Amino acid sequence: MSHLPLFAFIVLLATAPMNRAQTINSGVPEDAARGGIVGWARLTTSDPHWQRHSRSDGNLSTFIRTQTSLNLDPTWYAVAPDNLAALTRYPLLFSTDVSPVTVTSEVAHLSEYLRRGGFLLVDACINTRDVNPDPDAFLANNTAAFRRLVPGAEVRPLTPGHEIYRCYFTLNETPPHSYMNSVYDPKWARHPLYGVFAGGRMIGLISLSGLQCGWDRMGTAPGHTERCMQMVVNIYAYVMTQS
Amino acid sequence: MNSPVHSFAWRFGGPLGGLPPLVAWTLLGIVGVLGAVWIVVSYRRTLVALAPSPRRILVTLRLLLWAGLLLALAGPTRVERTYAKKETRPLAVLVDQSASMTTPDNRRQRRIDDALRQWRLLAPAAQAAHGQPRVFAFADSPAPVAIAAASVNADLPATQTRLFASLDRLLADAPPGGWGGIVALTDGLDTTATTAADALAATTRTALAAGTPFYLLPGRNRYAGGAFLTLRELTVPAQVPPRSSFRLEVTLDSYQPAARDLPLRLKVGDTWREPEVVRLDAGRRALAWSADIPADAPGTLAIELVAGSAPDAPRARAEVRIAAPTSTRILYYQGALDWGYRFLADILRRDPAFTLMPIFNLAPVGSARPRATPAGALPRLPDVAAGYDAFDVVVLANATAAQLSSAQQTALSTWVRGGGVLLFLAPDDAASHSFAGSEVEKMLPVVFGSGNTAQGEDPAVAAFRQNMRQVGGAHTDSEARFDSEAARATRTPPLSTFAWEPRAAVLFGTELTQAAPRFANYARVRRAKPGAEVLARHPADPAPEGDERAILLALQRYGRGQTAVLTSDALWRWKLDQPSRERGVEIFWQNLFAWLGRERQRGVRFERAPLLTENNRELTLRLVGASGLLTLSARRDDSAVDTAQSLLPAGEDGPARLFTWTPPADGSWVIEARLGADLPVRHWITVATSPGGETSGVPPDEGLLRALAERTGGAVLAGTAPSAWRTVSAEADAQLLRETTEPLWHQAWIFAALLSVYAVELVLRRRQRLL
Repeated sequence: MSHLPLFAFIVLLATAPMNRAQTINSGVPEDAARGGIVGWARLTTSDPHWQRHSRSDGNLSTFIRTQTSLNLDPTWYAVAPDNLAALTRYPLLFSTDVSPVTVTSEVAHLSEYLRRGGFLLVDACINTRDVNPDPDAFLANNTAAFRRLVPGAEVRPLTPGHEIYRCYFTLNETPPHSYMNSVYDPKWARHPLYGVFAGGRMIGLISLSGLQCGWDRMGTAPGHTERCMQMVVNIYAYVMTQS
Repeated sequence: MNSPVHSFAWRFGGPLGGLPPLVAWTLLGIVGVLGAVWIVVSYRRTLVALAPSPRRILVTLRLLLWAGLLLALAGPTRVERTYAKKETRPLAVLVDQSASMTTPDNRRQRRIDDALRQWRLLAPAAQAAHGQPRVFAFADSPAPVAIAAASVNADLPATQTRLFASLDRLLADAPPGGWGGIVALTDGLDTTATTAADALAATTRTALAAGTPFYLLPGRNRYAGGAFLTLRELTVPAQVPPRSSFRLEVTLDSYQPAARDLPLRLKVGDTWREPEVVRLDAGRRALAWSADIPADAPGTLAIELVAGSAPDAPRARAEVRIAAPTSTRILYYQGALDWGYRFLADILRRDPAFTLMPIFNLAPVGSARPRATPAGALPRLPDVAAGYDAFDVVVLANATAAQLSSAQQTALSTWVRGGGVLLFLAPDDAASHSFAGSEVEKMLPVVFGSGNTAQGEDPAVAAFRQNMRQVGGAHTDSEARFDSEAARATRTPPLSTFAWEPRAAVLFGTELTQAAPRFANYARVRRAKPGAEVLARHPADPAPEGDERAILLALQRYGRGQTAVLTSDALWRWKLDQPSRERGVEIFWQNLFAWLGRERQRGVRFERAPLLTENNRELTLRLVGASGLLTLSARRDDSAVDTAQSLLPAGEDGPARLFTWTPPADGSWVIEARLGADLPVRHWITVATSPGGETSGVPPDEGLLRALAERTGGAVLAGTAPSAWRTVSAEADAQLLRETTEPLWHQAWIFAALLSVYAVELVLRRRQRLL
């Protein structure tokens, strides 16, 4: 009983109308109007690691959905290159490595997908022990794969001044890199993002930055997970706004 | 500005904030009484027995503290308000009771009746701003006569109208401080043979010196004197693409005592068409007539229309240039990220006939994140109509009403009314419903619903999503299993196909409608507006209202412009689904945008130029679309003698450049506008001598009324009170400029006093061994 007035006094101060800070809801309503719904899909290939880090794809989808006006399905999907109708449901496909796609029908399907306007994002896992021991070989294999898919396609590095690094989030690391056991590796660090161009437009992108490792919380540097997801948001925004 | 006014108010805080005062006081009273009872009772049941005197002191101290806290919660506040000083000069109402104002037309309506009806609507606002107005009447008396408001309809001798003399006399006889304004109910006809320009200059000078604005209320009716027939407007696009068609629109103004037939003869190029007979009913009539005209080979197409068969029948001429536009310029506003833009931009980029300027909203609606503007994009929609002039078609895609400010919506509406084209893409119900009742919806050919009509999700897909959500990020070992299930659950749903209405092939041509667009999602709209043309419907789904199927594509004229609504998605799923060798999507979008932009006016053109004017009366011509040195000349079209005259520039009005001309002689004249080395743009005008006189049927002199208002800082009133009269405050007689509040309880000494009371109570409690 003896502390009631003091309690009331504190409550009063806490709820004082003149001094109370205006609370502004900075959150984004879930039902805010968005564009047409679209899913995040992985390309299933014969690569044994095609689903690696997929456990965090949902987190990435949620991040993209909350940070942009894109109506991205929070659930991830998977599609196989032997099913063209399934491929064309997703305007952007994610792949850990597109070089294993060598079956003629699958190559034809992926090629047709890209010709129709689809986009392929390839990101290398930076596990040098079990997955990708040599980044240069990964780049060469995937460059060859893209040229197999779209003859005449050009693979060009995207320099640090490129719009893709600042079209939405302004990134200081261009691009942010993940490293095996978080130990800097110049063999991986020297690689920027690589755009794949055909007919004057970007049809795909090759990353040797381990963005998927980053968004799966493999990096130990503070904020690295978010930076990797920001890079993916930028890629998404760039692809959707620059034809 | 007045000195501040101080007052006192209770501003409840905490949980009582926002409650009605009666409820707040009741709750506070109940809590106060309960608290007081509890304090008294608790001090009666202490563990250590208290003598009556210390108990009373302790109870008093606690009650004081409790009362202080409750008082603070009630929030006593000092309020300081500052008001704008009210306009105190009186308003004069000057009523024109000349014959031209009091002669009834065929419906027995007088111009004075029309003006008085408008004045009665505005009088309360005028009275609120200036107090009771003083009413005067004039006709041909040497000075206005003060009359009672109730006797406004009393007749005055009216053989002449001394408009300028009456205004001058009223200004001269103003009360000390002058008039706060003069409201003139008139048709603007001064029949005293005064030179209008000189009298206008003199009167406006006097008004400006007195600081008195003129507010003009034009009185209109259909009185026309004798029978007449005139062509009031002839509208054709200045330029159209080859192998297209355009519409000629004519407005006839006539008065005939008995109904009669009128043959309309149209000459297109060198060919006269078969006359078309229209019926003119008895009385004053305005008749609209139109004809569709094909535009084939590039060049200039001459058009001539003759109303009647007599040799002196009214006629009008025009020219239409047939040429392919250099490009269709599209402003694409993307309200939310959608893949449709990438595919559409890629299609249009390949065709040099289109240029595309995007505006993106990358962050979600409501996000506090600073706006990001990707390279090559505009940051936001223009706030003024002129900001859209660099474009032919504006696309609003996936936008919500909250993203467009009131100014942006109004500017867009103004631009479309003036000839712009708006395509609205809203493939989801949430976005389209947000526009219900908005300025944008007013332009569009459909009415949006406001309820929740969201299309349900496939239960199997929903279950799959839930399952995947649980697997993802939670059970790493299960990752590999999702492949087969994903493949099963993500089978591509069939796309639906547009069902074209027959009218679509007529409008767009068969090439566009042969492409059968396919879509995945669409927004449901309630219905099409009257006058809208529905060109495509859903193949199966019914519309929310009516017996027909849901609308996918509809068009509507809006002013001189056009609006279209496409309720399907932006067809990117069709693009991805369509074999790369096929061009259905490209054909659809390129043809649709070319068709939408076909009538968009480009280059120099006359705006609202009259077909008929009076001899020796100054005429102002408006030209838009000119950038650079523009010269205008006028010459007789029906005389071999060189009569060319240069027209004088008279400033600008928004995007329009103004030129004045006083026709020196009756006849048919042609005005030529030249911009650099471009081909001249021509406008034909007939000059005739005005019959003159009070009862000649001359229409109100709108130009004179507008000049009187604009030059004195007033306005021509049209249904709404001028801003100077509007009371923006709920206060009865003043406009609140500023309100500052000072919470009286929020003082350091009050807190110190309350804490002191509490501290004394604690000390006493310790002394009494209660602590």
